[in-house]
Amino acid sequence: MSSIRPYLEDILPLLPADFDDKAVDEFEVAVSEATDEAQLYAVQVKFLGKKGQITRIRKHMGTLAPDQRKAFGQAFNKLKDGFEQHLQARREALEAEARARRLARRDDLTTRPRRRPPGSLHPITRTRRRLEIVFRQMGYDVVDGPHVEHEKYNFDDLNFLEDHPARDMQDTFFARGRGDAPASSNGGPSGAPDESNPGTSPPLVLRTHTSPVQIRAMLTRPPPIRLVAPGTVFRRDDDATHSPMFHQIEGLCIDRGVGMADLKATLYRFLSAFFGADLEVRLRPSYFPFVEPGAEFDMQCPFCRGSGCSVCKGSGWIELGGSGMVHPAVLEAVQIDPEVYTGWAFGFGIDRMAMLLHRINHLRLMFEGDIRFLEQFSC
Amino acid sequence: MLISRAWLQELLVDPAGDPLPDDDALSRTITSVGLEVEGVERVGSGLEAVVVGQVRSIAAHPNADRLRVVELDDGTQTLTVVCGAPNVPPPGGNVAFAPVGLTLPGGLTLEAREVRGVQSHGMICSEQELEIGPDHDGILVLPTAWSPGQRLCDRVAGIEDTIFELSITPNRPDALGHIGVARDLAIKLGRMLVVPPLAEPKIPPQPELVTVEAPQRCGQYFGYALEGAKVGPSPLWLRVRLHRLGLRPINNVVDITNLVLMEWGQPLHCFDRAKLAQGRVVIRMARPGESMTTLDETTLELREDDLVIADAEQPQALAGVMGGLHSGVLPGADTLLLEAAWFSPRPIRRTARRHQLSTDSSYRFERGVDHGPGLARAASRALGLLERLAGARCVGGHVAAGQRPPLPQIVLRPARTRSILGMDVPDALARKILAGLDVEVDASDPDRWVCQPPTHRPDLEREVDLIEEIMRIHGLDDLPAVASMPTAYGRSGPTGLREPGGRQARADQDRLIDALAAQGLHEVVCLAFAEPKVLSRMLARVPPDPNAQGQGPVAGPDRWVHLTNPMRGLGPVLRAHLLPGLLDAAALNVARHTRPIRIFEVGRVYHWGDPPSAEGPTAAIDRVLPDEPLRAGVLWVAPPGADDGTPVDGPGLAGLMLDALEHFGLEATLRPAAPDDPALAHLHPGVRAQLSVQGHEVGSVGAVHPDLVEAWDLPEDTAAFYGELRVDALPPIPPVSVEPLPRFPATSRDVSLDLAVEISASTVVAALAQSAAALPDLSSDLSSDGGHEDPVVLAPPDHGRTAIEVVEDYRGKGVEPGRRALLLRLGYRARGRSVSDAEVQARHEAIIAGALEDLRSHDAQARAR
Repeated sequence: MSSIRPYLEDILPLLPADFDDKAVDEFEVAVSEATDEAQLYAVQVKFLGKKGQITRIRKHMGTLAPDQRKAFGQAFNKLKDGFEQHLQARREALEAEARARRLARRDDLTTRPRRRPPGSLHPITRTRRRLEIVFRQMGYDVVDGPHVEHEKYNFDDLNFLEDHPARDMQDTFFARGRGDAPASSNGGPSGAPDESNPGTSPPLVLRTHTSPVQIRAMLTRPPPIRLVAPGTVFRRDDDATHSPMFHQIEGLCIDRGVGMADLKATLYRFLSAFFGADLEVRLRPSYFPFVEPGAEFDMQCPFCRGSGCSVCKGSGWIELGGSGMVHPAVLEAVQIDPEVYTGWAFGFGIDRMAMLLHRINHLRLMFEGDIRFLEQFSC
Repeated sequence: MLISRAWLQELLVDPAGDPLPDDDALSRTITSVGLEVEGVERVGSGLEAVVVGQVRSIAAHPNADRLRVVELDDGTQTLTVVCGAPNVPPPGGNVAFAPVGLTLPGGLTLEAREVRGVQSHGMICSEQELEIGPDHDGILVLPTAWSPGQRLCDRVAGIEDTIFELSITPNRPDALGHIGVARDLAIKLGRMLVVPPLAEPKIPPQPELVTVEAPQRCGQYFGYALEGAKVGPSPLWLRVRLHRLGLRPINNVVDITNLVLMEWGQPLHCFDRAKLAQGRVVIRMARPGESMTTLDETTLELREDDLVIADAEQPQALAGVMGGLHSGVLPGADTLLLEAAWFSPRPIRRTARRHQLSTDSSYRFERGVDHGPGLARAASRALGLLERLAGARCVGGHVAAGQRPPLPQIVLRPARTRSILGMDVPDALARKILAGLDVEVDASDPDRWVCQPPTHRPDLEREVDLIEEIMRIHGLDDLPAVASMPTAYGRSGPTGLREPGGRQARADQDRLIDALAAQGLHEVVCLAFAEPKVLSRMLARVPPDPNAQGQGPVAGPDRWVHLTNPMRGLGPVLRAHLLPGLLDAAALNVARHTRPIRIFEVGRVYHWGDPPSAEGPTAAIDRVLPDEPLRAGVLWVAPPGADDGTPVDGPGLAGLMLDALEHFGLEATLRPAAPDDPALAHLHPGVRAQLSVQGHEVGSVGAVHPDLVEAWDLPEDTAAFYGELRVDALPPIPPVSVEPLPRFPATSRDVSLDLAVEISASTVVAALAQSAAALPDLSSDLSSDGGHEDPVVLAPPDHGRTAIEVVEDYRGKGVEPGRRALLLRLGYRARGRSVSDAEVQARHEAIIAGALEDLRSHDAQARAR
């Protein structure tokens, strides 16, 4: 930093000979020793303030002849401006140093990021929502019903006749009615209640499919009807590929003049929207009591587009579920005239779809709750 | 149902003599008509080299007592074979000979080798070694009429075969026999169905043979008396055929009935007539107290709903299900009674289920066998075979008729076919398909065909059933994917589906799941089954006041929903609480790794509640159903040492529940929970709080009760915290209505209160808030410039979000034991002006005075410090 002496050159000759310039030296030292803005401000007040030691030099003007006063004034101003510049230079230097110090900091952000990991949505929830979104966009309501259901809605009204082997297609859990006495091991082969001694309790089942929602919907809203019913269902089955509790989604459309071609078109549209690709749909005749004609539906494998891969076991097709035209007996059960209205229904497993989408190999993983599995579905 | 390709080949004759399509193509064709092929197995490959070998001589093996050295003629040369079987026929007899080089089905490739010093060139085989039958007691002895060198597969059909495993849906009893499957395929493949020749013996009427006393249950009963039976092994072709289809050959009489079963799908039964009292059968209902022992030596207590085939004295068979132990045909039987019948299907199913007997016979009867011409044909076929293969002559018979299902006449409108299918099947093709299925069609009115389905298709009852038949055989590959229905339209309005809360609840459920997942929790889905023992742990040790039953959120045992047929290993009750499932998941994680576990589930619990006052068309049924309230459960578990940087503690989970609710859209507060609240028995009595929204309890949070931590075998000192929301109790989410931002600074004042530790902070905060709300407007005394319109109020200070904040909870020096010093900070501001120290101080002191007065009702020593 340059000396402040040159700023004194003009004024020194005008000052008394005994002028003590100790304050000037002190100012120079104080400025150079100030290490921050606060100290610098204190120096400024002490030397350049109203009663500052430098400011005080001004009072010598009174001792001068009037013709010298103008020159003194100019010389003093030169001194003061110079000193202030000196101070300002020091201030800027300090700021530059401070900035340099701030910029010199080196933190390794890669060392230990402080995380707040997101939670996760179960693959069944994720898949159910994706399905619901697609069907909502296609104009379908999303509805559900009770899990503990009356046999009438789960079977009878769906054309599963009593004592008909079609009921064996779905191995059923039965529930005791309100206030029934605890079980007295008089169950049938699969523990079904003894039909010859039904007692007074209503025949309740854990719904074996989401199809009772069809019945409830058709009973409570007039056609035309378009809905999907995703939900939890139960079957008495527990092995590597079957869980006693799983999830299904069912679609229903009731309107005038609806046929199998509409069903196929809807399945095609849905699958194309869901997988974001043109996937062929194949129907194969089959039997489900509540539809007639009935068909299983397969989709072209979304992973290999039909050329065969490990997911579709080389066939190019993936079996998805059942479908068909709503049986006239079902429509009659809910007082809809099958001569006026026809409709189709389809259903498939959400869990299976989730396993397919995420390549989940073991059904067991879905229901045991290992967080190392779940966190892979972070939201 | 197993189907043999060789058998189909016999039944399906091609005009040009072409063989059936290859296995893959045939399999696809079978599946395409709705008879799904689930498995294809090729059997007997390599056996074409097995030939008839004629024994020339037998000599004892020089070095082994049990072995013999056989010289045999394989048609071209005489070879030496060492054989261990005891039943090698004398010279001139024929055996099945497998030459060197042949690979047996079991995988063994034969080579010439020395057996104890004697060179053996090939092998004399048993049925089992060739896998054409179960017999391994000795080698297979072939008829002497066969010439040496003939290939076994040329003498016996089905040595090489392909067996298709079909999944037959319950509507197709006709496809439970080869002829039924062949009938569908004949149309599809353009071949002719040729059934085996039927015997048409002259049968003298013998009405006393059969008495039907239950005509409502037995629609048709053919009973035939036969004499001169020679019961013995069946010929090889028959044994092979049955074996290939998974049936064990027994004797010629039983095997014949089984063959007809697999051919016509018609179960038959043969009685040893000598063992029937008076040599006759009575088809009747079982009498009270009657019992019978079946073929499998089980004694059944019969019900009056069971139909039996009795002799003059006692039941000899459970009709349509299983024969009795003593009526079966064993070697030595001479006179037989052959039964071919149609029983009413549903009662057969009831009986089979009741007695836990599912047989090939009941399986078909409960689906409905042919009650018309097919039944008579199956009987004739059996009579012919019994005479030919067992020497049994029919000497008399009687056909008794009961009630049979009416034959429907169905009007089929071709226009309806087009509209249901959405594609055009030409009328001529449709009629050809129906004719091939034995449906009689009168198409004199071209728009309304009058159709008569055959008796073997009980599933064809209505027009749409015939439309399905046309579709099934025509195939769905041509079906266009064309939507003719109106495009998108959604419907609004009540669902009426008894979803708690309806569609809003459904959206809320998803929003709540999102809100919880956003708190770093992992969603789990637990099975809804529970063990009573486990559910009981959620209940208070001391049973709560019985009058409270039905009110609290935890259902006691009398309100659990029990299953009548639980599965082994799954609880017999539906869960009434979410915590057990979450603890199971936590325990599984703890056993597998050492990380903290933060999980949640949003799901239904089940219990009996007050009958819902449901209305609408489903009300009658809804009233008998249990409640299924929706709950959200959050569980944090950290075994000792588990640390992911975020502490697993009560304040953390309490805050999480508040944050999740805020994310959801509701502002919640914590309130003290009584240590003896029976609804919270799953929580530590001293570490618990209620969650409330708009003054209503909506859930709880706290430490998991130490007894539960122990019951789930979690390590001692495991930190476990559980929060729960009653989703159905959550109020509607209020719309966001923006508060204007304050323009003037706030100020704050602290106060330290000396309080008993039992007084919860939430109580203190509530007392302060209430005191503030109850104060008269003081500002007018202090401000002359319209301050009464803009009073000083409690409000969030500039540094925080809450108007009353607990800053410190101090216990120790200067505070008596059992008490604590709670330091609180209260924020003050006025809406449109700056506030003065004096008015704030006055307000602050007034609020504290009011609050202390209130708190002294809980704690007489409450005071400001």
